[in-house]
Amino acid sequence: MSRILRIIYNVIIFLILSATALVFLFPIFISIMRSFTPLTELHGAPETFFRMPASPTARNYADLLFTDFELPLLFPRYFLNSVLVTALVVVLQLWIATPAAYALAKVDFPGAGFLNRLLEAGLLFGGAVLFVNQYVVLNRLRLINTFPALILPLIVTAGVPGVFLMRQFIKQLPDDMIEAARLSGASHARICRDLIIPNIKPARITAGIFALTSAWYTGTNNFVYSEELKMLPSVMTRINAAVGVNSAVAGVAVALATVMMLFPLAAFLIYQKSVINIMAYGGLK
Amino acid sequence: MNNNRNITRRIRENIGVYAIIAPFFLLFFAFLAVPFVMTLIIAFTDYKGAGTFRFVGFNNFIILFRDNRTFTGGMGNALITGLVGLVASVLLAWLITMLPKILRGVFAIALFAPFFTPLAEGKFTLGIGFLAILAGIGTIPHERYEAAAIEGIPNRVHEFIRITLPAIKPHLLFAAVIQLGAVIAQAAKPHEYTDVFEIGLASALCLVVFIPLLIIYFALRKFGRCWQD
Repeated sequence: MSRILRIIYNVIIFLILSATALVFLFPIFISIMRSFTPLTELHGAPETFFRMPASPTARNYADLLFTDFELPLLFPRYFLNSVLVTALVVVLQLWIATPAAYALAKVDFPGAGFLNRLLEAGLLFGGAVLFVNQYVVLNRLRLINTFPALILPLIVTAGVPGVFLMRQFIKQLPDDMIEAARLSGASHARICRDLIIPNIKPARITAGIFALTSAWYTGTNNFVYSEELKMLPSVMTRINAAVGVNSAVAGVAVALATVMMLFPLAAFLIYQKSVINIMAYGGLK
Repeated sequence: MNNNRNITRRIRENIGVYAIIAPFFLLFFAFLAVPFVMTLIIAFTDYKGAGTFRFVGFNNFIILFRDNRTFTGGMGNALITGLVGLVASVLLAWLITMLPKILRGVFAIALFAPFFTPLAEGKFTLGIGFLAILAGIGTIPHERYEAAAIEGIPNRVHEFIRITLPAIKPHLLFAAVIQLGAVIAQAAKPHEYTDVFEIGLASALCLVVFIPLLIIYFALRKFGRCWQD
């Protein structure tokens, strides 16, 4: 009796979750389908309503790549900017954040408590509430409208959750391992490279993916005004605004929306195991 | 005096630590801590992005509370969205952990995937908090449930309220900070003010956004062990 009941329970739960998953994933599916729908079919079709494209086409992507639609530069330029900035943010972030996470988690040095509280407080604000005065700081450093202005603020705002995550993960590593290394004369930098990094791979992957997602969608376009330095989020804003005025841009807009979500989504799917499992080991306890 | 020398010695001993954390914390100070302190000061001025400014007391805050572009509309909706997201995260994570192991991963991926797509106005995704809650429920030892079954807990809903929820308190608080922080920051729209160079107003807005987050943070430190270890 109770076994049958249990199976019934599980079937109901399975159905509820399946329905929710469908609702969640449907917008992604629609977006991909719309990107292959020819411009003539797009007209008049509401965004949320789904209709299979009668004659699927890759034309929207070709238009996105090769035509100078509403923007001064061609799409590949913005795309490369976005890829380069995001890649640099992720790499630099992991490179400088891992030692910081190790020191905060495992080393007792004057100021450790203060810096730990500071990091936790930093978790509370996103870039959106800080960008005004980040501008002022960049201005003082004479970095407005330079390439570093795109990267430096993002390393912090996109990276703080990752540092927190790595810190929690490193805390779970045994102390004796590190103490033994210290006693045999290894420097902190050396311990970090040879002992910590190999042991926190899933945490670093997850931190990297969160930084990637955040950097890719944020784009610090407020800090540059040269068109040559602009990135995809600014393109997206302008294209979406242009659709209302010039309906010919609609095809480009749907292709762009799909290209935008491709990278973070692909990164997640490739490393899903690390991302999903990470919280179970380290994270919080 | 002795104490002072002690601290200097300890700082000198740890010079290697400061060296390895310097790159991150220099950027952290420059682009997070310093801008935050500036926000704190500018919020009480009529700074317009250039030229001189003067202190105006709480004037900016009064203007903000009267401007229904920001508060009455946006903030209320943001809070509701955040809370709904939190409740949904808990319920969905709970349902997932009740399924056989093979299915858990599949649903976790399917439900978390939208997080990686662009955030549109009013669009709803489960955030990092969902993962934390999922992990929290997953780490509750099985004996807890068995003991409860012996004591006679009538059904799964009771079990959820009496065992699961109290056990994941730290995860819940962590999720609350992340979830509410994200939606509130998004709803605040300081752009509306910076676009017209009302830097003082924009800073005041950032500060008001920060206060509920600060309260949650202190609640976390008080009730959740998760920040300590």
